Amino acid sequence: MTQMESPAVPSMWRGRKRKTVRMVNGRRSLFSRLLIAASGLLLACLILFAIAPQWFAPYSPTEMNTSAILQAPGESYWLGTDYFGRDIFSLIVFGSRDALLVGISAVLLGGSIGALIGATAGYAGRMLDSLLMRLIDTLMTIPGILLALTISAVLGPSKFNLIIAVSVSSIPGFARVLRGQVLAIKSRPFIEAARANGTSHFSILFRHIAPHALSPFLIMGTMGVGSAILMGSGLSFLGLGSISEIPDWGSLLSQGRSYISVAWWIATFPGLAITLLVVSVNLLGDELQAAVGPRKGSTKGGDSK
Amino acid sequence: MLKVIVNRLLISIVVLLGTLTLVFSLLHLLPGDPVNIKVAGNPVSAEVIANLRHEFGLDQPLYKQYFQYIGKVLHGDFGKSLIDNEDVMVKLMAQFPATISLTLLSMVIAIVLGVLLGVLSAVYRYRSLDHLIRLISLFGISMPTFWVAILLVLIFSVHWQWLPASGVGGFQYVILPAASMGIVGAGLIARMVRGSMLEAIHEPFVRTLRAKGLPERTVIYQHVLRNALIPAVTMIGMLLGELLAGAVVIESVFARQGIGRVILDAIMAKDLPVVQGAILLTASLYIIVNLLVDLSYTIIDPRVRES
Repeated sequence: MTQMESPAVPSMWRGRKRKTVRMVNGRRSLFSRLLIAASGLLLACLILFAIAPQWFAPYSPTEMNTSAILQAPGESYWLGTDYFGRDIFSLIVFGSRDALLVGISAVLLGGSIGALIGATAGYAGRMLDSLLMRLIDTLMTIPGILLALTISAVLGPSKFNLIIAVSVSSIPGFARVLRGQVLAIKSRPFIEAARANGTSHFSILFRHIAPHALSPFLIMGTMGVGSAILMGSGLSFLGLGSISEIPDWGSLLSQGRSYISVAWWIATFPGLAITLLVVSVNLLGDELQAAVGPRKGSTKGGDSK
Repeated sequence: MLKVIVNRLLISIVVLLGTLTLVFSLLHLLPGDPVNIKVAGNPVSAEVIANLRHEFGLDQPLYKQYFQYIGKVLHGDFGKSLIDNEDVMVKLMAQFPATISLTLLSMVIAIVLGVLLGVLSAVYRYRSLDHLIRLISLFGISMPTFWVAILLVLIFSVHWQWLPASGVGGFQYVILPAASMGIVGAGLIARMVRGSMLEAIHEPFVRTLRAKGLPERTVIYQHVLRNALIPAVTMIGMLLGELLAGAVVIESVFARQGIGRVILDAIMAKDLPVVQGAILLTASLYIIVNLLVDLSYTIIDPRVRES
């Protein structure tokens, strides 16, 4: 702990009180507002790219210009060209659809299954809880990407299988958080009241508990999209993504690896695209958490001890 | 306290059995059985196939296969590779040191850098340094490790030619791979430490400490940090899993030897016993480390010990 003792310690507390008050009032610094605005803009652009890539890409993603292979970024090719003479910027624009598709659908699928398992475990308690949570523990022992790697190898490389693989590995996280949420909500008086009224378990779970567990689910989902995009691109980087004419960001990066000493831009820009997308999504998640979420410790209830 | 430990141990055993079952069922989920992979399309007589089926125990009923498999694994017998007939355990153990040194070094980088950034960020909260660190750690958790690896290679191998871009050898070969995993892990830890420090700062005991006139430095470094690091210790277990898995990608980027490389090659070649063995090995490591982390938790934190 000695390395943290900097000489600046005593003086840095002068501004403390004022700053804390400022945050309590909900006002944000100019810096974070700018950051949020920038990431919102970026996200909007990428969504537009994904919806109608042909409007924004200056070239066709499959167009191979043999007279312009491995061109450095410049006026006619903003982010340069690859070995086939394809425009990197156009490839990135067209690849945004896959990135968003994998991220969002993997979270929708894996998140719903995980949430359902976690909520059932938390609500039912006892044997079913232990059984389901041990199942989740088991799934957790295999690190996410390894699980996804094995699944997509079993199923074969395709976009759909990639989504399945990524979603399975996102199940445990959702299950744990939702279980914790349901456990906390279940013991509140209004649930007891609903029980006393003769409301069915199904109805309690979906009509009384679910609305209260929605915001942690949304926060987790947003963060989950980020990590799903990362995992998906990792899998296609390893050659387990979709096989199509238009490479996704991960495989584009992987192709660029071979030309790293002659054409740095091929590997650099797709990676930058992944990073910026994930940064924006995570920032959105942070914002959601700050706006509606409970304290960070909400996941603690999910620990099965 | 003994009860907590025994309970935790039992859970670990159950989870390990669960993982074994999962890994076993992997064999039966895969399209195409190992015999087909073994003969690899060569024309062979029905007798040879029957012999091979017998050798793999595939002619036994499923439950017998299951118990046989568990029995074998408990004796450290993970079977033989379908591709080169090498003993899986031997094969994995040969690659183990390379992966462990990579994982440990990246863990050290992640923890030192992460805790440092997290503490600075919390201490200077809502000020420029905090903003900067938060931005850095946000990028840290949002960058794909393989991209970080490629950037590091571009900077340190291609441009400056300080460090080798690939291969195995002395210490200089492990720096870039470990740094690329460590940077991502540091982002995760920095965010975690900042969050738990801010949470601890607002707790009543801190007010009491300030009220009794302790210098702010002592309050922060002696009391707040100590409390904030407890959740961070739990992260170490999680981080190990992440890093071990990250090694799969990173070892491939840097053309390093290691477990990750073996797993990837085995998955591509559908060499099932190797995939199973490797998953079991990483999973048991993960279980053991998390068990140790949980147990150390009961020792570090009196609140857990008493409950």
